[in-house]
Amino acid sequence: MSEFNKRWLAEAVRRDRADTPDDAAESHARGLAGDAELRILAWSEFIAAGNGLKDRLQVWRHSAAWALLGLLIIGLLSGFTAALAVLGDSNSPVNVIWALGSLLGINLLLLLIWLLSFSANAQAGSLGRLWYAITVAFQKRWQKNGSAAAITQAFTTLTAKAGLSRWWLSVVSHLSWLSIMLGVLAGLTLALALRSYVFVWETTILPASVFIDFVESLGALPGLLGFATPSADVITISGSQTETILAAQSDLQRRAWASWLTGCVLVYGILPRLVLSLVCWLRLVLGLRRIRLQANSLAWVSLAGRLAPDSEKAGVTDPAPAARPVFKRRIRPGRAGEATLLVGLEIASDLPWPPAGLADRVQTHLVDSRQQREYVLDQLSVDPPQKLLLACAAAQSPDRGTLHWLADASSQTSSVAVWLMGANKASADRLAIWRQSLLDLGIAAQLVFDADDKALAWLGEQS
Amino acid sequence: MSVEEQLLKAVDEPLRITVAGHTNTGKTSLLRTLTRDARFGEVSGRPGTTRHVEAARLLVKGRVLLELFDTPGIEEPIDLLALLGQQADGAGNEDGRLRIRRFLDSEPAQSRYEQEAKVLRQLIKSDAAFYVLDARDPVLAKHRDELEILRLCGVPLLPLLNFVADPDAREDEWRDALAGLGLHVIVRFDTVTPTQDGERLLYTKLGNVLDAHSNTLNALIASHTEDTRQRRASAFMLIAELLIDVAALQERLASLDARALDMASAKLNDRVREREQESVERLLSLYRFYPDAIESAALPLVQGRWQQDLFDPYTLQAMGLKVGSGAAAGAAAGIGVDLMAGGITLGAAAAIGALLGGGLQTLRHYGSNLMGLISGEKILRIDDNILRALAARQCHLLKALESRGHAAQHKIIAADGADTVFAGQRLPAPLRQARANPGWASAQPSFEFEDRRQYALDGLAEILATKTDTNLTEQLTETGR
Repeated sequence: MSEFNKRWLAEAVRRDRADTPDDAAESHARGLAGDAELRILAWSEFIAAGNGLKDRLQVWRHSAAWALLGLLIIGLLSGFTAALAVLGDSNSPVNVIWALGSLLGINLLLLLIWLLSFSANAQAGSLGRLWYAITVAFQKRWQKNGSAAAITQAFTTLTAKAGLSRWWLSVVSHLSWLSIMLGVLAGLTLALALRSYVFVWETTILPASVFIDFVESLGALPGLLGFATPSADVITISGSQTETILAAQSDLQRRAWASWLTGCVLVYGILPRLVLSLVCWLRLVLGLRRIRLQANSLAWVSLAGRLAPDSEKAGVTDPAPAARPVFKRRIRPGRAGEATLLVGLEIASDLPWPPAGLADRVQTHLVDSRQQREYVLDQLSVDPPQKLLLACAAAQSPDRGTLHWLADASSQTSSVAVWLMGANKASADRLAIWRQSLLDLGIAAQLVFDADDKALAWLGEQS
Repeated sequence: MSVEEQLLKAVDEPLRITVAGHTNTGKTSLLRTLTRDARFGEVSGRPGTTRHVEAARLLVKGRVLLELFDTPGIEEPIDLLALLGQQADGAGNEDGRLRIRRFLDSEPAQSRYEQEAKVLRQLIKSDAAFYVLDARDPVLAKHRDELEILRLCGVPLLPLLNFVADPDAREDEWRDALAGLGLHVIVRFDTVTPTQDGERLLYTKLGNVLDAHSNTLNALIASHTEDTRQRRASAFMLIAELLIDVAALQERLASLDARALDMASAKLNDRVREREQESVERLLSLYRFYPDAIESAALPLVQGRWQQDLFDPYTLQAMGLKVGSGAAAGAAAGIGVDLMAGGITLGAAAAIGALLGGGLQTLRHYGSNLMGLISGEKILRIDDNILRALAARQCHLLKALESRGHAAQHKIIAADGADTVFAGQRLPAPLRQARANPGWASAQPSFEFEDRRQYALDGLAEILATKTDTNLTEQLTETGR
């Protein structure tokens, strides 16, 4: 399968299925190494092989090929008969200019329209559309199942998105015309070989020099390929209406006309179509080769997300410790000094420190660094206070280090309370976490204050 | 440069990044946002939620480019730093990594500092680390000690200021403190409301710290940029699909008696509600939000649904829209439904526009409308203002999705007050075409050479993109500041 056909199949499968997941196909595709597009192609091939879509796509392609072949054969035949009809039987002379116009006129006119369609940004290639219509008609007639439309639409949209519609329409168009012109050439050659024609031109108003220039300039290009061009004398003579002079047209002169006519059909009818067929074909093939499915587009993004996720969990690489460390307050019995102490732990500058309205006898400490922590703990153990109020910043989350120190500090004396400073700024969740942690530590809920006045009042009470 | 070109230059081995930080600063949230996986790990306001090391991989085109490791928070940095000092026992100017290894081999790494040991063990074998900090927290001794310990691992540290958009954030304080510790490359990255180019900045700065891996990071940036662009285009296409489908919806009625009208309009309303919900779900899944996850609380939805019914007059009022204006028959048919006796719109200029854009099929359809007129058949369809409301709501949801990280836990975008997308008397041309093509109400494969429904969708998606883009960028710069 060519690269384009794989993508065509994938697109057809997607349109055919309309988002129904297929676990087998997905796990098959996930097993392959590669990017999302590669996996999508594998996914579609897996499904298409299973449900027969792959075969139906082949049938579609065959019927399209047959349609094209039919079109070309019809073209060949119609060109052939047209040439015979234009030359007619050899009883009456052939008007060369008229004959050339009939054989090439429509072809060249449509070629011009095709060229103009580039500037007008219009679709061209009406014969291409005819081929499409025939192919679709085949599908409708012979493929009863619903996927024919999906296959067709997959083709048209894939090529349209890549800007290739014009080129495949053009290829068919040029090929058809090529076959018509080949038919013309065959008919022309046959008629010229088996019949004896007299060639003339006619005019009512134009001087002979116009015809001489016309014939000679048209003949210049075929002349390069070895086709003869009638000389000026011959052209002048062919313009004569006198029967006797015409009858005297020599074989050589008639051959020159025949050669000129054939050369013109070949050079102006066949060669441009041949060249353009090849150019458009090349353009189409190169374009088709570049078509990629856009895995992150809306059409594919959800499947691509399943087939080739852009992130994946790699699992736990180091499991959690078996148990959370627990800190408990262990009160040392029987020791209580005189002091009333307020210790602020990790209190930032946005909280008022020392708090207003403290009694003079209350000593305060601020604790943050290791030195401060050790110093205050030493002080507490040397001279346990009678009352200890530990102030914490409620807005911060209580971590193990904080709780550990609070456990150590609160173990030094029996009368300990905690003041959650700035509680009005902390979330309810955060306060609940503080209370629970302090409770686990061994500080009763009624000794945890979040209102400033209550905390300070507790400090002021005489026990 | 394209993603492919960048990938070719990337280093073969994936980049290993450890996400470290104090407890409860949003490390797991960062992982969720960077992996776009709202189900990664566990997130809560409780400190110490993550107690293990968990890895996630970021892939681009099937290649693993980045391995991220979510680690437990560091909780006792002060005592741990003291322990490291004790263990060094005056060894003087030794390599920090030696100290870390000595600690990891010692007994406390198995017991009291087990959680910290996990972080350090992971960090020491990584290429770099994000140090996530909560910019609302004051700079404390424990944070300095923590950074001191992490620095001993000899791995580049990139401090990441989380919650920096919060009014209480102390950005300057933190920048100053980090500068004092020799950390000058700092990223502002809000895991709740990351800015549109937040991730790009994050990876770019990481690239500055990790020169050898800048190609890998550039590939990641290129791929994410492309995905973001494509995701937004897809979102507009989803909304366009919804609008085209609903615009094309219609019910044909043989008579105008109240019961038949009621039934038909209820049927129509239900189909629109279902279709809207389907669109909401597809948008959520496009942005990888799970309707049931805590993260979706950040959206103007409840349990993944709009709370206000689309056909509720208040919904429309909130958006400054009225329904059934003018048409008496519309009022009779129930709210949000527009009654059209066959062919009424034929004479209108709107029909001419639709005809011009719609081609032959439209003509055929109008032919059948004319038939309807003759046979007395009536057509019910969805009111223009309902389409406006649908467009406004979906674009509103999209905005919310665009500006939210996956770690969002608070609703900041209100459900009502969606801005109108289609102002003015007439709906955009693609919608008027859809009106004339009842067959567009659902996508069906067809043999048509040109998919005109698709053209209408493309056109409408583009209109939506231009109409919402200005709002979106405004909003994003606002949250980014």
